[in-house]
Amino acid sequence: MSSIEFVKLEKVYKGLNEFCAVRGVDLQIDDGEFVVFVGPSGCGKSTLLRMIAGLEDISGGELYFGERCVNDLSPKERGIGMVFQSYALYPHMSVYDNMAFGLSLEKGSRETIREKVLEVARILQIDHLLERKPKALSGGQRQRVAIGRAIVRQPNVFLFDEPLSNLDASLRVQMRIEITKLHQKLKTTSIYVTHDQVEAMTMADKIVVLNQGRIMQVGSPLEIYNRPANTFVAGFMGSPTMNFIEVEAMGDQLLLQRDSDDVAYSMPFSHNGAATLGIRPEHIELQPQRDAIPVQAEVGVVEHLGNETLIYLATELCDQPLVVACGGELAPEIGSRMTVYIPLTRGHLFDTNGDAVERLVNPSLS
Amino acid sequence: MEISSVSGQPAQAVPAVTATTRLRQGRRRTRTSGLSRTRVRTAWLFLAPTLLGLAFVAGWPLLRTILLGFTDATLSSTDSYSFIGLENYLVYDNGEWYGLLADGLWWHAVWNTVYITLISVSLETVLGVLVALILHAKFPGRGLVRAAILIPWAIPTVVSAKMWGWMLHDQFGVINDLLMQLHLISSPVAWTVNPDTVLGTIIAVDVWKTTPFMALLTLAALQMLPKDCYEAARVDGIHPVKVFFKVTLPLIKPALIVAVVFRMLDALRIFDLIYILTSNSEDTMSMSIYARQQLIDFQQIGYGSAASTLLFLLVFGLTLAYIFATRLKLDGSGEH
Amino acid sequence: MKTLKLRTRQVLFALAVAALLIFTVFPFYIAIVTSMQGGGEASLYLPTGFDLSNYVAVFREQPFFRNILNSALVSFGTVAISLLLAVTAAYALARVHFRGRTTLLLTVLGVSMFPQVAVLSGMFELIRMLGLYNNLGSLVLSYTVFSLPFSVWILTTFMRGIPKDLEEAAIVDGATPWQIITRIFLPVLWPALVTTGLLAFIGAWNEFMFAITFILGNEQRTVPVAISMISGGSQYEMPWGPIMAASVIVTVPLIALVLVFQRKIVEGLTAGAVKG
Repeated sequence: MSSIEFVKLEKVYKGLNEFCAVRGVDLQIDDGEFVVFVGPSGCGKSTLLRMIAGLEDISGGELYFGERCVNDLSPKERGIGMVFQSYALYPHMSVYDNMAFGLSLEKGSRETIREKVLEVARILQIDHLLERKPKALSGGQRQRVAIGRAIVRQPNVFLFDEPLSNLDASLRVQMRIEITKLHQKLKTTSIYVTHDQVEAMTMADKIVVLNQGRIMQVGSPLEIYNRPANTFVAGFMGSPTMNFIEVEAMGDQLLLQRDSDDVAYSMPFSHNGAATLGIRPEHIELQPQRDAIPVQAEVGVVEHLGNETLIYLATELCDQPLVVACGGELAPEIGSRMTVYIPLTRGHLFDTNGDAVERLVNPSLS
Repeated sequence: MEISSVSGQPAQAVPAVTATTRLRQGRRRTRTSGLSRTRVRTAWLFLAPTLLGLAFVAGWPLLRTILLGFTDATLSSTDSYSFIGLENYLVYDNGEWYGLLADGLWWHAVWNTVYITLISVSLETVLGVLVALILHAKFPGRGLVRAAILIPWAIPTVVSAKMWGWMLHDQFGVINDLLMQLHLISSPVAWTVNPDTVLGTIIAVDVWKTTPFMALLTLAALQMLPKDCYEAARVDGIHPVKVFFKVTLPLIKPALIVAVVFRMLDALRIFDLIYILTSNSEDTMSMSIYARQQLIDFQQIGYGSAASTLLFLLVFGLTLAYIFATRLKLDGSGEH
Repeated sequence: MKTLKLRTRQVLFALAVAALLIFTVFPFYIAIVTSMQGGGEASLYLPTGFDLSNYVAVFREQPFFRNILNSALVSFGTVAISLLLAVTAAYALARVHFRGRTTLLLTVLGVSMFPQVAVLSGMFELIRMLGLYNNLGSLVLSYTVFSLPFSVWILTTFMRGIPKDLEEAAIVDGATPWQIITRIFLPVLWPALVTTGLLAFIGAWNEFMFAITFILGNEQRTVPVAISMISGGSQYEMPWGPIMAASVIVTVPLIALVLVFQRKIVEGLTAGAVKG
């Protein structure tokens, strides 16, 4: 069991073009936390994970497990267990041997090894598969064996590298819950890498959003969702994506860039200059609201998802369609005109750098 | 352990740095950490036996041979010899040119070798492609045929040479018998002795022996071709011969070129076949045969080494030229 | 009309295949027929009987059994040492990134292009210095080293094909490189090992120039040299019967080997060229 700390961690690939995969990352992870690294492809999350594992060299900065600096330690010396995206099970070995392999390299007695493997197999419900070879297993079963192999050595830290991306949708949901339950039971510090924000939101104690080698935000799932620190995080988390509208801010007044009126709206932010207003599709109202911006719109595309309906509206607020998420029973006609209302209390404001502007706590607004 | 939550403050892009963190300032470490350094060290350790073996048993003898080419060593006096510079290669003495480069037999050997190489490899390539095309098609017993064509390649050259030597025997050989029965020749030909036929004989046996190799390489290339080109061609109704020349051949050309170059470099060293089939014939002497004859039969270590060196330089030069040519093409596409 | 065209094509194809087979196997057939002739009038194409006197003569006139044993010893020895060295070298070249890796690989491959005669005098000296003249060890030494280039090449190609995360999982489990090779890679790679071993075996078995130069005595000779030395009573008479018998003896196991392992051999031969 161990806490982890990154100090200015850096990874540079040298070659024809020097590529900085991870730039000056600082992070503190507490003992027993389930941390999810999330971000688009190429953001450096896998690289960071592999640096923690010891599979990639650390170009700069330091990595601490607890009080120990582990930069120069081998993966085994660091005491990590890793679950790979493609499971990486040894194809010529049975499930039992796969799980026992790491233990068999240390000088343990056959009985102790057997005990440990059987116990883990029981927890993961694969004890009936011990004699089989990986190719005789289903995807979900292989996944479990891979997890079992990592658990059985009782490491200080678990590392998951997009373990569920090779599974089909329903299996993914099932395994997600299992991994969460496992974590609740074992309470080992875990780092989980995924590009799937749903996995991030549902599994994490703490989410680390990464983009191009930098940390964009660190926080609990709800914090990340409700208080994104910048437009990247705001746009990355949440599906469908947050709507972004270019606006002009003057103090606590908001000016929209449209010709039809010069109305200023009161907003719970204090800013001057050009800014970006963000509003999530599910927060846009179809009924008039106090202190909500009315928007005339024409229905472009309607997507019926069953539990909700997504309406893509053409407006004069921005070039991109405004996306509204509403109840599944609604079925507006394509081409029809409607008015939607943007409540500023649910909105987010970002400055020209993309950073979030702090929300004011103002008793005058609800 | 310090419990510090980084998520304490809302809407912050920069994570909070705890008190303990401030004490540890990130040091700029050396580029390769201990981990990969150990790995590289292990790699060199693993390579060491192979490299040492190659250096001692292949590299050093080669250097020795080159060195001996500059001496007048003989088999009986390999300890006491003197350095004679380029005399083995060429020297003017008493109005006559002596040395390898002035030896008519040497140049005859060079000519034989080059001739055999060019004709042999060309024939092998053409036949190899044909055989590969046959084997590429699906027919019952394909596996057996494929195994069968490996046989000439797998048996010792000595055995092939003996078998063909017997078949080509002027009195009892089946080849003469067959040809006479087919009225293609009127009297038996001494294939392995007659200067007119002997070079062709060597080439024929070499082709017999090595076509399987070319066929297999071509077959592998054929099997890697994308099938959709052919299906498209079939839909368009193009004649198979045209398909071959316009589609197949260009696609397998890269693999073919590799095979041809490889085979050529190999053919330049031809020895076994000639030694067994037509041993003392000057008409078929290859460079290897010449060199070995000088070395072992005539005990002229110095002279023979010079001949060996020339052969080596030829092969080496061609290899370098080939690598250069392909490297030039590969430039820009990276090394991995 | 169409079926006639198809039929003709099929017949032509069958003829081509038949021609191929005949062309390939005919010499061997003749060898068998000849080997089974007793002395005297020889029928060229068909066996006159089942006369094994030539085969007996082969073993009587020279220590042929001993020769076969020598060849076997040398070949197996070569394969064993060569595989060991090649596997470790291939691991280094295939799985570890270091400077000069490609150059090294090309250099190793380059050694396979050496004309044997170019190293002959140097090797002769070396063999004498090591006291291995007329000793089978000289052949094991030379064959091993000269089979290393293609062995390393083939094994490197196959090792490159092993997924990276398999090795990483083993590293995370705490395996040293040697343990990774022996417990993870070798079991996965064993087809490639068979192939490489076969090619090395065939190469060692068939080698001639070194065998005839480094070995002097009849008892120590290997098979190819022994066959070349089979001589008859007079200077001009070649005992073709026994020669063919010896050829058949040597060829049959090789053919069996090839028939059984043909797929592996083909894979090995093509692995290098196609990927190279």
